[in-house]
Amino acid sequence: MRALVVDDSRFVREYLHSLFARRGVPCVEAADGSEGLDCLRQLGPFEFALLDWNMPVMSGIKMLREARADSLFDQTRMIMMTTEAENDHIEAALEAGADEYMVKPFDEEGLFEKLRMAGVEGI
Amino acid sequence: MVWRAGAGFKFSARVSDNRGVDDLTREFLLESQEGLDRMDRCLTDLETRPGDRELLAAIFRTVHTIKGTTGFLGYGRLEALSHAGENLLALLRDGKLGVTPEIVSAQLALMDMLRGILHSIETTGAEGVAQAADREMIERLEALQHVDAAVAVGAAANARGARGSAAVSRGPLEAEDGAVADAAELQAEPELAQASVAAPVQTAESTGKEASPAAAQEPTSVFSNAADSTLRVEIELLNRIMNLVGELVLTRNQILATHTDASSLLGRRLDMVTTDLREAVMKARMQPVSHVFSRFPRLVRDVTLSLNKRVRLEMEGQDTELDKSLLEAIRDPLTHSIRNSIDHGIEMPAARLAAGKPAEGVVRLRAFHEGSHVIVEVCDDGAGMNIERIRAKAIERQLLTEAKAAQMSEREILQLIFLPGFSTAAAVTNVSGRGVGMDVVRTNVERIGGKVEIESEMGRGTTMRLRIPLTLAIIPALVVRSCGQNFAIPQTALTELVHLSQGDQERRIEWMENAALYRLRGKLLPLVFLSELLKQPAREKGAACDIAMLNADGFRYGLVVDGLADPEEIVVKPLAGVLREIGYYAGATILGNGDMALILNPSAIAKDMGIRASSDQTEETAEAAESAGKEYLLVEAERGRAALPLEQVERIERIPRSKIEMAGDRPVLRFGGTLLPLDYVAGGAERSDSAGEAQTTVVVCRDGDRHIGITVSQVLDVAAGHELEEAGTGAEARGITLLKDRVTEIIQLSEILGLDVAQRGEARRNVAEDEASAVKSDEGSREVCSIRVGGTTFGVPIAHLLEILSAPGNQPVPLSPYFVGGLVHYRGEVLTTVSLRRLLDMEPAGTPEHVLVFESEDGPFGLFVDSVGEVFRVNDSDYEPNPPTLEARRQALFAGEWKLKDQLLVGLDPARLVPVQLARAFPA
Amino acid sequence: MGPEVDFGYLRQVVMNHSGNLVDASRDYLFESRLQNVIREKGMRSLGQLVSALRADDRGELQRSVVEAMMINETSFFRDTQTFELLRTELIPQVIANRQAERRLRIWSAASSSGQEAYSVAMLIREHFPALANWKIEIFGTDISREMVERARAGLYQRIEVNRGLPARLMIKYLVRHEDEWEIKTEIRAMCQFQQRNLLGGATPGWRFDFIFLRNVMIYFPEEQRQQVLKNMHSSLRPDGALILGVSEQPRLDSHWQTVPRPNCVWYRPV
Repeated sequence: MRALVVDDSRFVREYLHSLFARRGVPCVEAADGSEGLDCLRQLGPFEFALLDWNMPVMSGIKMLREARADSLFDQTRMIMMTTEAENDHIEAALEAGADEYMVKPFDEEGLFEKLRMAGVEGI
Repeated sequence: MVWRAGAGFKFSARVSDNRGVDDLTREFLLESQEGLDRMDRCLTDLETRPGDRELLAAIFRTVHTIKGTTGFLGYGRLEALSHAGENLLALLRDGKLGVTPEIVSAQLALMDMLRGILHSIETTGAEGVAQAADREMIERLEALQHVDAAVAVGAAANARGARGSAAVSRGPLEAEDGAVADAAELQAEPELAQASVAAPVQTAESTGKEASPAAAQEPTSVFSNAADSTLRVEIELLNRIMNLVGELVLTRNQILATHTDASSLLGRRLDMVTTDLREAVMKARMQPVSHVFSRFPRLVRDVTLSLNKRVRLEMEGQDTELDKSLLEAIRDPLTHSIRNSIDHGIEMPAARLAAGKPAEGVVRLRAFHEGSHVIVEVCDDGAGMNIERIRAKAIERQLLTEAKAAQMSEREILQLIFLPGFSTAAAVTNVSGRGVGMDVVRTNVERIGGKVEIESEMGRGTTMRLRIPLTLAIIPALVVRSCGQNFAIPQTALTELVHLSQGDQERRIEWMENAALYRLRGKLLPLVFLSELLKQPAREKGAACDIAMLNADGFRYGLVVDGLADPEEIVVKPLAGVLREIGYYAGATILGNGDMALILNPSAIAKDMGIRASSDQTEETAEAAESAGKEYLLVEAERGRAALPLEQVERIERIPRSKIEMAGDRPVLRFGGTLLPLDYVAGGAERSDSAGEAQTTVVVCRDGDRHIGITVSQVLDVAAGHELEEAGTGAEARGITLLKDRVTEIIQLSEILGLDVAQRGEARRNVAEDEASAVKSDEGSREVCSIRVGGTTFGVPIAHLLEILSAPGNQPVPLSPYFVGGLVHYRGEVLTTVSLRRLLDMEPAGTPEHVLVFESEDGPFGLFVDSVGEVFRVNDSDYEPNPPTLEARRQALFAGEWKLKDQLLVGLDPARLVPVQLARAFPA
Repeated sequence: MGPEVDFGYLRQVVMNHSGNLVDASRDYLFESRLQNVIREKGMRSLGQLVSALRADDRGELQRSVVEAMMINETSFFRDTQTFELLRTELIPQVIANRQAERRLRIWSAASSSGQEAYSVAMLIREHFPALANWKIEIFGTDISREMVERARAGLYQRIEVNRGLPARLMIKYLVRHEDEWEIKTEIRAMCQFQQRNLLGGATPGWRFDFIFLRNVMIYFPEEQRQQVLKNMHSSLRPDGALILGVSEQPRLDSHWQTVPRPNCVWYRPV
């Protein structure tokens, strides 16, 4: 099991990293969508990816759309996470192929529940 | 991207937790602080570019991120405040509100408030209780949302009409007072309140796009993720590593010096690895100056507003890198210089217009490399300095006599502003403060081995130039000898060496009045005899000597020494304050053979000897005066006579051929931690030295940031070239010049330089300040160490005694205060040592036998004594104060006495023996 | 982190203020739930918090600790297998049994801030269009007035809406107001909340089809558990179901029949 975390905030990456590390899940970090795509392509496969929405260079939603256009990543569960929490954001994300959508901030239990909701098994 | 293998990664590997704030919180603090710094800059940019949507989106994102992350940690105050800021910014971003100075000011004030809370979290671990100020700030931000609301809604409605995009509203807007046109009107647009559908997605999309080349080209777009692929390391740790590397360099030098077969494989491996390691660590400490520059737009804005002036800040060379600790050290001096420029330099808009200048003044901040220095300039186009006023003020303040002032050049007068207590502001404003200023700037910059220069032209403006060394920790130096002592001269100042054999002196050294001069390729250079300078015993007349030709920041002169030792990379060890004050020494070092050497400060010596910068002295050389063209170094190379542009020549070295290595098929020379590519052809351009070793001369040249060594058989001269015109076209001929009436080929470095050479990064080592602990006071008794000097037995409380060194080597320091015994080597450091004999006006005892090492607030220091006895416990009941009959100095020096059964123990308090204390208490 | 944290004292504090027992095997809850209290008070460790608690004569800190231990106890669709059970077995069954009444009553005991009740409501709306015309009554009760009020308000913070609520349901059944999400009226209309002590005795006339009593027993000492279960028994219809937390293994007397299912169990009153 491997995780991909895509967020421009070091803090958020650090936070997620620490939560995953505690459960023995290795985690690759990227600071924007374009790096995230690179990671998907070069360091995959990943069981799941957590994508921030609002990032420089390439937003999470754009990354999501590009990743979902490639059947190679069908098995990777994608979860959007963002402070942007208008319903239409969520709708747009689900439409674009997000398996779940998480509102920031979230807590540890919330994160893992979301992952299970997204279909990540055994976490 | 960050790829961390395995999940077992532990945070503790990164940053040690020394303040009780966990790693996650630490990361949060760092990131938020960085965000706030960016915000400061973006907000001030926003005032000049209020319509810049990209900038607005970037600002919004930053606050948004801060708010987003506060929630994870449950910091309610931060969240509430940043939320209020975000709401206001959302309106700006969505074009529903125009940028006003009030909004920018409020946002900046918010940034300050957030910073305060971050600081509180950092220091106390908690954000503190919400205060009335929080409420006020939130109300202020909310009010700003509404004040402009009427306009905003109107604008939004128009926008909708025009572009058909939906506007966003976050619920009914409240009418605060009559200023808001009509609350009913606001709500008369029902779709506004519900239309929050498509817009945010579009916004998010567009911010996604904003990544884009446009943003990359725009230098003011700050969001680079370079930092994201990095690991944070505490500067303390880096300092420690740097110190260890310093010790390693020292050890390497010692090994190479003691093992004569230094070229053995292991020796060379060690040499290479050490050099590379040093290089890497120094690189790790480098940071772009933008880290410091980024705070200045905010500063300029605030100061400008408070003074009712108009000033634009321009910044250049923000990528220029500097050692982290140096960067920190110039932060305050730069801040002060900028404040000064705005406060004292830039005139009021009306005055500027009257003087035919634009109403808006310009302060330009520039950073760039120059040799082994980084120059940071603060340049304004203000009124410039009034030389006469400075002169008058200096006299009025009794900083110098009228007669002296009359003799001083304008340049010298300008330097007076660096004197403590000098201020020329007609009205003391709250911006630049009261006379503390330029002296502090100078002190801070000099503390890191830098220099401050000032240039000013009445009516045109002032330039403050900080010259910061790239490196302070380890420098290449030439070791020279004078009267049996070693001295190190930094290579950077060294241009070439001249040897005068016995009897040559009279012939080659010219005298004008009492000044010695040496004619070097037609230029007359002043000479300084090191032994005379340091008041060492007189030398034998006419003995063989060497002259180190120096160019220290434009001061060109020759330093006459008894002889030369090898060049070495030396680790600079700081000197105690009392020795620094002598001025001629930049530090001390321990050489490969274990000897100590004082490091000379060539520019300080030049200034002290009254040598003028060479720009003032060009007329002294006939040759230089007549030449209008570029200067070239004329060499005899393998391919014949050739010219090297002088500006590209860094130095000339003589090296044994055996030092030339092959990197692939390319000859290289290991040099100062880098591989210096050579244009060397085996067999050519060689001569043998007296020992029969094949030697070759290498001219080290620089093209941009790349270096190359040109091997030559001989350096012939320096001469000005005359450009040639190409027949027919009249264009300047490339690749040749007319040098000494001969058409000479110019060696084109850019053509030779094929491969990149790692840039030399250099850094300074930080000297950890020793913490002095409080004096321990035992009940009723204390432990003292007995020592003997002359016939007296002293007792020194052992609380601050670190170590006793037996028969250490001693390096005397010429010109030092009388009580300084010299320098001794102590655990890799150079210890300033006080001689108790000298202090008590006793005869020197030959070689001192023991040194007691004490700790003090000023760092450790040593005390020379004749012999050391035992440590024993003395009772306070046996203690008596100094007898009143004692002469004054001893009265001040001794700390009472213990009358024991069989002996008298005179008390010594180490605190009174600290060199800097002694210098104050007993000036010569 | 001090190795010598006095968990016994912490358990005592919780017991004194809430009557709830935190089992020693769940001491880790103190570590995870009290992190924010520790941070907010500028402390560094649980040990430090314990010391501060001992010195806290005004009881303010004690209250924050007890609150922190009690909240976040609930999330939407907590333990998905329970809701799967509801969806695939219990509700279809009860629909079959209540065709005449067309009425469904569910008790969310110790309803806390209401997520369980609303989850059940959402599940019914989402999967059982056939129940659209039925009278659905979901009762939530909690000992804390504050909790009851929160549940009634149906407003949830960012952290809470992440907890267990699939995004799809979130946008369907919740409305966002700034930083809060409100349960939509159609769902709220199915639920009501009251303050009530589970030890207070059965309410005459209360007859439920399902009772959710999940992760509540652990807070009662053994002798009180039996009392609570007795009340539940008398409040449940004979063909109803008692649902406990998935990891709970209470000692049940002969009044209950355990009905095991692949990932969970439910209890039938006898």
